[in-house]
Amino acid sequence: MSLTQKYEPVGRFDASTSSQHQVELMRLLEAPVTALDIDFSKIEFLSSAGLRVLLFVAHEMEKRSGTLQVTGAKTEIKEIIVAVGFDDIVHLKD
Amino acid sequence: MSGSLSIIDLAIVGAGVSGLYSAWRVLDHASRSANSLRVKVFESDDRVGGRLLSVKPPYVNDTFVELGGMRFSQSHRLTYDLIRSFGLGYKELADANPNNIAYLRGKRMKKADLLDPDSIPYLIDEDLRNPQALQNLLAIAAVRSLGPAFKDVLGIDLTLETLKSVTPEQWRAVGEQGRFEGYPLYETPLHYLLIRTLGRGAVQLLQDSLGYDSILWTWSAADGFPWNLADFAGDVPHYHLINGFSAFPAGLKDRVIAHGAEVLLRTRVAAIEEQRLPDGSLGVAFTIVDAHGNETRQLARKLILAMPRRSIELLSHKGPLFDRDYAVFKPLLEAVSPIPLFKLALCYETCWWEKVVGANSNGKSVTDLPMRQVYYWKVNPDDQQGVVLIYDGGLSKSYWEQLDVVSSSASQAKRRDRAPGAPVWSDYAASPRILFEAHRQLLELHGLSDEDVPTPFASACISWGRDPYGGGAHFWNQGVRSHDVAQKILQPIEGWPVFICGECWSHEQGWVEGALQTAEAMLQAHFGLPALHDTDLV
Repeated sequence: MSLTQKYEPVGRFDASTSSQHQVELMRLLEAPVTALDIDFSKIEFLSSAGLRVLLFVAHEMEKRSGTLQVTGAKTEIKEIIVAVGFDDIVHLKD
Repeated sequence: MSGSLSIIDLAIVGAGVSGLYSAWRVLDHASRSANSLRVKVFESDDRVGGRLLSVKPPYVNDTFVELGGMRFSQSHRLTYDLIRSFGLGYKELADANPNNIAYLRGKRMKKADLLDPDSIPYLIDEDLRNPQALQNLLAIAAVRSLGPAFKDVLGIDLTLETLKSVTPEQWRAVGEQGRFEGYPLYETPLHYLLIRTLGRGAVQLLQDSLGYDSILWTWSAADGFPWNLADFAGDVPHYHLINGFSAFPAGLKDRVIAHGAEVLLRTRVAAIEEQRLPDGSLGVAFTIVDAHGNETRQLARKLILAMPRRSIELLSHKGPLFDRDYAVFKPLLEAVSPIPLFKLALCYETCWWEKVVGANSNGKSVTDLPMRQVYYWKVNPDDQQGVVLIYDGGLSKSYWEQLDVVSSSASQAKRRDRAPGAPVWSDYAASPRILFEAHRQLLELHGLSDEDVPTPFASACISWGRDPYGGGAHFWNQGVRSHDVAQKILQPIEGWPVFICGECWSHEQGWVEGALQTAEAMLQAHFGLPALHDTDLV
């Protein structure tokens, strides 16, 4: 049975907010989630700390053979995700 | 049949250092006598540089991480002088920092503790249980095992002191004529002599603390000792290029193009065959395959294979090298073993390791965990971020390569979709499984826990053991008279103008210097060029 969860952060995904995002995401993953959709449409900025959280969550999803999708990311944020090679592990969707 | 195909003067296969350097030197030499040569360099990859691969990590300013070769020394005269003459900025790359860690057999020590016989978890013979001996284990093994050979062949009393001034020519003479227990040194495994003279415990300590599983194996005493003792004469500083080692082959490429030659990327040479040219001379016909899979046949008066062993083995097995004269060529080709090196860079938001090894740490820590060597990569001190470079110099298939299956194939697919050019970080992104396993081992090495250290935010890796390279470096095999092979392989089939150069069959294997030295030997012996240092190029 598949279970999809959606996370809708707002503002920045950076050092000042990454811990909070990670806690909230891990809380979502306490359930047997097999598909996680992070809606980035209201995210203005993604820093290295934010990438770290994305990577951490991607690894958690990989371990349960699930999928991680990032939707609605602004062009410059998508470019960052591609530049670090995360587009192999995170499905980017408009 | 040559038909109406145009004939180029020189085709070079491989745009690594030896190929680009050969092209540049031949073109420069011709231009001095107002000769115009048609030269083409063919490269199957989408970048030049071969096993030099510098990438810029994300969010980390002013730093290039070396996923390939990373350093050179002042004793590498060709490399050092060329880099200076090209005006490339360089700085020292520290290797030995006494505060760094040696985490061996479950015991976490400072590297300085490796000289304390009571601290190291290895059974060491009584006569080696002192700091001076522990610091010079390889040299002691050389003196003990090669002393009689040096006396017989050169009349030299070999001591730790006289060992420092042994020249390459003397090493060659002893290697070719010296014996141990009645057997030639080139038929005597280096590892056997180490075990015989130092004992198992000291040899294991040496191997574990050097951080390489490969460099004490593979080769004979004749080749293994001089290579491993190259820096024994004193502390030879090593340097790295500030803008990445890739800047060196890029500089060579610019010079080749400035002479009007072509460097064709994503163009693979698939086969080379003998061809009688219209003027009656013996030339080369070769088949190239472009990025779209289109095959074209071309002709050249001369051809240089500036490629490692595995890349040559991947050529179509026809033509003189692999058919008519294979019995001559095979022993030359197989005189070396590829060493499957693996590199992995991890980017962190902070230099957390400084809590353990001290501020502004550099150099490497070592461990017998699969990561083996950990370099604290030099990062702009104004930035918080840091990069750790993991280097597994293994002998057999890498622990890491077996975890790297997915990212490698994904990376290749991405690169096919992009215009060729400078390498980018994302082409080499490591899979989360590799990244988190390396992070876990880093924590164990430093004695820290998950709570102490945030996970990395990016990573990149490469397995040099994969095709078309076969290995990150090459070492001579046992039973090989390496100097003879090094000379013969420069033109493996007499009378046929096909030449071979590169790090693979050099006596500075694993170094850029080896690539340059073999190119120099080939250019002087078969192209009539003066030595680099007899020109005004450096």
